[in-house]
Amino acid sequence: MSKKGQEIFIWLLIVIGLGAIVLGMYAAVAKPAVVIGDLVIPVSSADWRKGNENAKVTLVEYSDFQCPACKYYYGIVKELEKEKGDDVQMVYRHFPLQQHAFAKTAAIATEAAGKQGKFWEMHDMLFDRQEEWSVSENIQQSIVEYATLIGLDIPKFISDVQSVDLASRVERAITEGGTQGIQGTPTFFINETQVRFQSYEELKQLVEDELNK
Amino acid sequence: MDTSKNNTIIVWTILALSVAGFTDAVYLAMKRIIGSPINCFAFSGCDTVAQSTYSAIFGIPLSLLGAIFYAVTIILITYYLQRRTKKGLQRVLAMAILGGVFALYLFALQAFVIKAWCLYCVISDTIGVVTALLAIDLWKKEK
Repeated sequence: MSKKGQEIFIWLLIVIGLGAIVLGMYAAVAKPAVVIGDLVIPVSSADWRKGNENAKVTLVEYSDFQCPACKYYYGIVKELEKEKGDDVQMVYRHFPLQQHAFAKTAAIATEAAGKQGKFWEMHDMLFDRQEEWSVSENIQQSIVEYATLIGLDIPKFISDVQSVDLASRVERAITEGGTQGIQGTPTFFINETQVRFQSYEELKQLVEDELNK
Repeated sequence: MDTSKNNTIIVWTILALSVAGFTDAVYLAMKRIIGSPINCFAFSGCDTVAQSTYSAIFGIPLSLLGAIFYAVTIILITYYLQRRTKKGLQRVLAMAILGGVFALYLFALQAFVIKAWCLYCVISDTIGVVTALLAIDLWKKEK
């Protein structure tokens, strides 16, 4: 082969090689996301619920207070609540991930706030201030501070946070999330079906489709 | 080992690293463009870095720019391997330094601004810095 021919051959190899890498990576990423099936544990009074209990649409979220993605989706769900709070029931289920050091503590704190009827207030507070307490050197202190801000009875809150009962409630939620096959947070269901969305507009569309069924 | 053989090894190492960098950057770009929405996963952590506001410039994902950067480096290196001209080496060096400096910036961004790390970004950034150092070394030896 002439030198020129050789050079052309090499360039061809490079184009094919890089093209193959692009196609290979496309195939690796484009494989369908894991389908985890329908909602296994039906929504009940044991759940943390918000909005219209008799609504046609229930949005179930498996979430972790320390997960940045969950904070992002918190904003989206909040918008839905503002705009369609009367048509939708929102459900929050704990699924604190192991890599988040304070996620379980945060989940227990919302349970303790829930005992004083302020689960959602603590839920909002934790997401609003996620960046603050996630890097806190004294997580207990941060949580007590938030409890004070939302007007909880502090001695009761502290004793509840330390109770075995609430810790085991969170553990049970983790086990149930495992049963559901949850692999990451947040994971959403509309009624019994798992849904994916990236923006409020997409979520709104999904909710409207369900309302119009 | 004589210098020219040693230098050839450096050139091939840069080429191999660039191919690895290209693969890594294409993976990140694909994930960003067609992948699932942001999530935290039980085993692989969160997509905090790859989905952060710093992960794109004027709407173009950095990973895509990274893939283009590595592709251009591969082309420049191949051209240099064929012609061995000083100008060819200059182009490789300029590109590698550009990449190396940008990789250092991305390291700093992860360490001090986003305060989170992403494995595939770190791999790409490391390759960028090592490539720049190798290119500088090569330039010194060939001069």
